[in-house]
Parts: sequence; structure tokens; C-alpha cells
Amino acid sequence: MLHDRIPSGPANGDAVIAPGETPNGIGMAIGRIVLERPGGWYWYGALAASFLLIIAAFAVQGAWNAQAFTDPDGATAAVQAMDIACYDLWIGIACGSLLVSAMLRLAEVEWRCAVTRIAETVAVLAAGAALALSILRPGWLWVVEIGLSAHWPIAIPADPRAILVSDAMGLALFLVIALAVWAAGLLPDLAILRDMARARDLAGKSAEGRSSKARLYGWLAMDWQGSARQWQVWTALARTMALLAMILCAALQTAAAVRVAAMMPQIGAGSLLPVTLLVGAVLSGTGLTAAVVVAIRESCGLKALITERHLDILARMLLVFGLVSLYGHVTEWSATLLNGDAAARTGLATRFAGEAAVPFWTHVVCALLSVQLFWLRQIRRSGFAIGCIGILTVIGTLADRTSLVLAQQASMDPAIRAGSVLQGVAGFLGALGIFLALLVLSLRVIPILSITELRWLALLHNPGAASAPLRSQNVVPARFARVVPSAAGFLQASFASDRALAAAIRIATERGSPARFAAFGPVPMPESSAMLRLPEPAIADAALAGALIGGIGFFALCQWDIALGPSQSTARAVLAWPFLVLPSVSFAAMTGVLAALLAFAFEGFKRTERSLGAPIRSAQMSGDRFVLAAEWPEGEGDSDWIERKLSAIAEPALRPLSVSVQQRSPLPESRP
Amino acid sequence: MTLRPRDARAFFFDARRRAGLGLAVGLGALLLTQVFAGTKSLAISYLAAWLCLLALPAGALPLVIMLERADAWRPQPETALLATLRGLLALMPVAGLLAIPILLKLPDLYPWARGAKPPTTLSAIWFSTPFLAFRLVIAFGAWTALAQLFARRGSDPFGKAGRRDDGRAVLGLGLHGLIGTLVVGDLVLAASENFRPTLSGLVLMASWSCLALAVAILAAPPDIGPARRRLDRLTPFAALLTIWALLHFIQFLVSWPANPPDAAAWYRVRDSGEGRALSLYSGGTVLLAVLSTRSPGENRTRLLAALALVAHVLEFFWFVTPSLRGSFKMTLIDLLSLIGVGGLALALWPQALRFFPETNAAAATDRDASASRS
Repeated sequence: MLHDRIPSGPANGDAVIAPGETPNGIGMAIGRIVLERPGGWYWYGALAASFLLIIAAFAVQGAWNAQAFTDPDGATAAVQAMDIACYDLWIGIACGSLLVSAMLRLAEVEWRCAVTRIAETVAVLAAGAALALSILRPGWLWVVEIGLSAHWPIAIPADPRAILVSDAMGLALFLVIALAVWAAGLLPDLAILRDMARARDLAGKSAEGRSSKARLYGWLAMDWQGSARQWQVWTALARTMALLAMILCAALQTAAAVRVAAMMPQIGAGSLLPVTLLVGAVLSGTGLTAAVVVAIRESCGLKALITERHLDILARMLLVFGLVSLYGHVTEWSATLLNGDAAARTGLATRFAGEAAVPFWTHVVCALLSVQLFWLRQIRRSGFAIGCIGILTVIGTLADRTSLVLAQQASMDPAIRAGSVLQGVAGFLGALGIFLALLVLSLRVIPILSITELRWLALLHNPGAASAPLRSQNVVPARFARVVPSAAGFLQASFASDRALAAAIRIATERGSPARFAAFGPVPMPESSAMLRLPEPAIADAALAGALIGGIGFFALCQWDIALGPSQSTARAVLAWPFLVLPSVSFAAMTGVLAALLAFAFEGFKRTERSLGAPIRSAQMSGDRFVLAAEWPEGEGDSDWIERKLSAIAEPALRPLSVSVQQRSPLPESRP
Repeated sequence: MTLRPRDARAFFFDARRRAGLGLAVGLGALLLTQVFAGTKSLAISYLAAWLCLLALPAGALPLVIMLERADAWRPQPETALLATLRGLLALMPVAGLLAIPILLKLPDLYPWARGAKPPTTLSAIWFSTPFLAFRLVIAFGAWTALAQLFARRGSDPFGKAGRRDDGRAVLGLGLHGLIGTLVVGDLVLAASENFRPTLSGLVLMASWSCLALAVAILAAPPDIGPARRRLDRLTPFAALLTIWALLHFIQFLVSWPANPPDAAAWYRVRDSGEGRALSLYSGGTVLLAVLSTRSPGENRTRLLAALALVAHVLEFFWFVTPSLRGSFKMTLIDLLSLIGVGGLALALWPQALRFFPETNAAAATDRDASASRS
């Protein structure tokens, strides 16, 4: 759980959040990027540049595609090979980013808070770029045709039809899971934006009632109230989906790499190649994420939230992935030189000093050697250096894929080969344009850093920086009687921390009160959840059941399809089982995610808590309050006793910031 | 005089007699193997059994480095699991010493030592007895230095001092990966005539770590503290087992579509009834470990560790012996070799501990602390 972590103080290195950062300040700093009009020419400039890149790159690619269709024997094969390499790069970046984000979430490292949202956004947008590439790839209509047919050639890795089908299926599965992970992480932040937009409306910023942004975020936030139960279920959902996303990314990249190894016997691909390509994908995903982090830090003025410590850690991650990648490549090369057959050694010679030498050495310099600069502390602390090296790793990974393709096409006409490389580079730049355009637009729609997680970090590291206690005020709105019609009395008390709230719940419930209690807060509240004796969420169980049903079902369906397909071969179905494992695992991850989402919708939005949370939504806007709400049924009530007990708490850190009681008949009273 | 059982156990497990007892049992078992099976069979079984011994320190090393880094954020005493893994590092010089018999029996184990034609010129230079001996001396020297470095715990208050150095961790892991790959290539893969899958280095290193973690889970006393600290042994163990299984599967899958003759032959000699049973058993253990993470418990974790321990010991024999015997089958000779290598390791253990004074002292402190707690 988040709160199990011990804060890393100054003794443990630089701060992961600037001193003095408050939950309110974080909400304002990130929320204004979305809610205010884009200021500065750079936003429009970046958007215009992205569109120009898209138009120029796809014009070049379109011309080469047209030429490819006129020469079906030679150019088409070359162009398609580069298309596949380019597509693999972008889906690799997407998988790598999502994998890193999921790993950080599962490892529960606290500095992840400023990185995971950007990594998830990069994953979704890179998958969007891959989608654009695959739509522009010759033959995508044919994929639809196969998809609608009865038999899918999934189990034949080197079959071109199988490549298109597995790419399409992998991309669809990835998009579903990446979007689900992204949206689930965004949910509490969208609720914050909803509250901020409504507050702006109330303050008179919007002349005609509720603004469109308030309505949009109200709809997207799905009535999120930040109750203890919702946070509990949300935390379980985030961890479960991170695990499933990690499994999906590993399965997709492994399947793609196995396919590359099967397609390219000329290069003497060893069994380490899939791992090397997977690590290369993670390296490029981390590199692009690091570059985007640096760009956002500089352009949006978020240096207090993305500190030098984050830059240092990103640099170290790039260094580690670069070293693992170096290990994989050097092992492959040395194994080929020691034990490889003649064909494998020729393939390696082509890459070292032949037709594929330029992309090969570009890969070595850009992806494998450039990250070694991060051994130097000054380079690790330089945003400019991290951004540049991050981009270089992406270029290096593209060069690696290109060198593999060229080594395979060593006997091809040099003019066609050069043209295919140019076409591949154009495809990459076009996809980069799409990625940048989507990124610039998304800055205006979603909070690019996780407000919730950064608030948690601020409460953890800067507890003294929270807002002053509320003055005496009635935070129960006048519509109380309408919202909680069954209640005779309603108590609301706010606190500065989860610990104080948990202590209050213990006091309030020690006498066996007939009241119904609920807790609300701006971040997950494990102590309050435990004190309320909330049951363990069934998210993980639902995901496991969904994954098992989906995975086994998909595997059985494919086996059945092969056995009853055109070849009608049971033996072939038995032999095909290894190739069905990874697609089945991918499919299982998707069904697991869908089951987890269903369980979340069922457990996280119970009607009973919604009725208790509705009156106090306005209190959530302050952003650093933990609120205890209680309602009593008609004819019963010990609100006065609870109020007295809460007001008598002696320890300053546990005292309530405000207590309000409202009975049905008398007027509401409140005390500080 | 009749000894009560408690006294008999105390007699045989007395640290002062343990070395002598281990030496006698070890030499006896190896002698029996030599007499009944001959030198070549002994050499083959010895290599596989030695791999099991090497797995303890070589598998513990990356785990210690990673656990140190993961635990560095928690200001609390290090776990008993980490302390046990540090203790296993002291076996590194023992494994190095017990590799000497392998060097003496190279022609019984490796085709290149019997004069087989090398595939490349570089291979002819690389696989020569002096160069191999030189590499092994360097490898075990570096490994022992790393083991000594990471066997040291930090000082008070939380046993973490000096353990936040990322550079040390990265260099340690990198060097271990390099040495591990070299040793696997030189001593395990070289036993095969033609097929030497490059992924095997990672597969065997993952397998070493699984075995070391299984032994540590079985040997380490329960940790005290909150539930997360006490019970969180199964999740990393299940994750490690999954990675190991995935690597095995990738190696198999890459060879499957092209089905090259060398790879097919390599898998065919391992595809006996016992080989298939081992695959099913190992896969079942991994699946059970993954499913058990939903409700981890100490006894369940220990049971799974015991199951995995058996799987990995058998796996080392599966990796080595079929290339030299033509099929995979566990025999009494293999069991005797295991006992022999284990006995010799037990005999050399006290001498090795002299190079690891802090591990020795820490173990004594832990024993005192446990005694005072109880």
C-alpha cells in the first residue's frame, strides 16, 4: 500500500518533491495547465510543427508506397519489411513505457508519482502512432478481411498473413489495456478537475452557469467522491491492472521478437534475441518518456514537482537498461563469432562492415554507448542531456531494427534498399508527428502529472505545509435534507491526516453507535479503511477469474479452429500449441483487465456511500482534508456525544479541524 | 553407553565435527561412484552436482544486491532472508575450489578437449585448457571478491549504512552477469556438440537464483514485524520462478518454427519420459506459486520452496547429463555425486568462513538475538 512506505528524508538523497509544496498548490499548478487557456507561442508552435511533420512524412511515404505497388516483386517486400520495423519500434516504445510504469507502480517507489502518468500517456500515444502506421501499411484492409473470416493464421509465425493478424490483434489488446490503465489512473484527477472547474464557475469565471469543462469532467469522473472504500478499491485496481499490463507487454514483445527471430534465419538470430529486443523496447520507451518528462518540466514550469532527483533516477534507469541491452547484443555477437555457422557469421559481417553497417553503428553509438554518459553525475542532473540521450535511444532502436532488415536483404537491389530505408524513416517521422500532436493536445485535456499521487507525496513529506485549520463554517450545504432524506442527523468532521481521521473513527465507533459512517479524503486512506473494517476488495480475484477464463477459452478456440480449419489437422493443432501460448496470455490479460474494471464499477460506486458523500463534495475542493461523515436514522442519535468526544481530543495532531452537526429540525451548528 | 537422540544429534551436528563428517561422507560417496560407475560417469554427475553447489552463492549474489537496494528505503533491521542469503555467499570460494576436479577431467566432459574440430578459429583459441583455466581463475576470483563485498552488512542503527550506492549495485550485477554467462558457456554449454543457445546463460542464472532463494526461504528463521515483512517472501519467489519459466519457454519457442537439426537433437535427448515429467512438475510448481500469492503463508511458502528446490536440482542434471549420456535419466550415481559434493562443501565451509568474518559474526549475533527474543 502507498502508506506503507517510509518517506525518504534529506538523509536518503534529494527530495522527490520541493519543500513547501501543498496539496492545494499541486492541484492548482497542474489543474491550471488544463483549465486555463494555452499561454505562449510554444504550444501553438509545437502543434503546427507536428502537423507539418505528419504531412511531409506521409507525403514521402505515400510516394514510396505508390512505387512499391508498381514493383510487387522487389520494392513491396522491402517497403513492407521497413514498415514492420517501424511499426515494431512504436509498439515497442508503447510496451516499454507501459512496462516501466507498471513496474514502478508495483514496486511502490514513491518517486514514481511524477513519472507514471507521463509514461502511461507516452504508451497510449505511441500505440496511437503505431495504429496510424498500421492503417497506412499496405494490406490493412486484408487484415479486416481475415479478421472477419473464420480462420486466423495465428500459429504460423513466419507467415506474412500471420504477422499482420498478430500485429492487429496485439495492437487492439494493447490499446484496450493501456487505455484502461490510463483512464483508471486518471479517475480521481478528473474528479479534482471537475471540482476545480465548478469552483471557477461559482467564482464567476463562467458567465453562463456551468461551463463545458465542468460538465465534461463531471461526466468523465463518474461521480467519484474519494471515499475510503473508493480509494481502497481504486488502489487494488491500479495494482492489478499494472500487473496485467506488465504481463501483456512482456507477452506482446516476446511474441514479436520470436517472430523476428523466425523470419530472419540469415542473421543467425540466437535464442537471446527476443530478450534483447524486449530490453531494447523498454530502453526506447524509457528514453522517450524521459525526453517527454524533461520537456514538460521545462515548458510547464513544474520544476518543484519534477525535481532533479527524478532526472537522476530516469538517467539511472536508462543506464541500467542500456547496460542490459549491451549485454544481450555483445553475448549474441560473441556467440556467433565463437560457435556460429557460416550463414550467421556472414549476417554479422553484413552488419559490422557491409550493407547494414551504417544503421548498425548508429544503433551502437546512439542506443548502447550514449547512455554510458550517465555514469557522470553532472550528465544525470542535466535535463537537456537526458532529453537528448532519450531521443538518441529511440533513434538507435530504430537503427537496430533497420540493420536487422537490411542484413536480411543483403542481396537486394541497393536502390530499392535505400528507398525502403528512406520510406521507413519517413514513416517514423510521420508517426512521431502524430505522437507529438496528440501529446500537445492531451496537455490541454488531462492532468499530465498525477495530482492524487503528488498530493499523497506532499502530505507525506511536507505535513507542516498543509492549509491552516478551517475557520468556523458550515460545510454541510443547505440541500442536506434533500440529499439525505432518510437521515435524522448528520455529522461532518474534517481532519488534517488519515491518522487523525482513523483515530476519530475509533472514538466514534467505540460505543457501538447506530450511525452509518463513511470517510472521504484526497488520497488513499489505509488507516481509516482498516478502522472502518472495510472488506478486502475482490478486484484481484475477479481479474484472476477473468484472465483464466479468457486465456483458456482463447487457447481452446484457436486449437479448435486449427483442427477444423482448411487443413483439418489435429496433429497440426497439437504442434501449434507453443505459438498459441503468448497470444492466449495476451488475451487473458485483456479479459482480466475487463473483469477488474467490472468489479471496480460494482464495488467502488455503491449507492449508500454516494448518498453520504454528496453533501460534502464541496469540502473536497480544499484538497487536503480528510472528512468523517455520519448519519443517524430517524429516532436514534448520539451525535452530541460524538461531537463532544471529538472536540475533547487532546493530541494536537489528531484534533479535528472542524466539526459540524445538523439535525433535521434545528438549525445547523458548527464549531472550529 | 546408550545415547539419547538429542545427544546423538548434538554429537553429529557439532560444528567442530561437522567438517570431518562432511569430508568422510563426501569422499566416501564419490569413491563409491568411482568404483561402481567409472571415471567418466563420475565426471558427468560431478559436473551437474557441482552446478547445484555453485547455484547457492552465485544465485544468492544478485538477490543480495537487489534486496539491499529494495530494503534500503526501510529504516528497519535487515530481514532474516537477506541475512541467510549473505551467508550463502561464503560458499563461493568453496565452489571455486571444487571446480578443480572438472578441469582435471576435461576430455570426459567436453568435445573440444577430445579433439573435435572447432567451428571457428576464435573457438580454437577460446577452448584450450590453459585459457579455460585462466578464465575460471579470473571468474572465481572476481566472484569471490564480489561475494566478500556484498556479504558485509552495514553498521547501526539499521544495518543499512553504505548500502545506497547504486553504482556498486549496477557494477556488481553487471559483473555477475558477465561472469555467469562466461562460466555457463565454458562449463555447461560447451558439453553440447553443436547447439549452444545464447539464452542459456540467463536461464541458468535465473535458475541459480531460484535455487538460492528456495534454500534461503527454507533455512531462514521467520522474520518478526508487520505482516508485510513477515509474509512477503512468496511474491518475489513466484516472480523469479515465472521469469525463469518464461526464459525456458522463449528458448524453446525460438527453436520451434525453424526446427534446426542441432536444436532438435538437443531437445530430443532431453525429451525422455523423465524429462517430460520434470517439465510438467516444474510448470505445475510455478503455477502453484503464482496462484498461492493470493494468500501467502509461511508454511505454504516453505512447501513451494521445497518443491522448487527439487525442480532446480533436477534441472541442472537435465541441462548437463543428456549431452554426454544421450538421454535424461536420474540415477543412483547422480544422487551419490550430490551427496559427495555436498559433503565436501560442508568440509570446506569452516575454512571459507575465515574469508567472510562479518558473515560469521553476523550469524552469531543473529543467533544471540534469536535466543534473547525467545
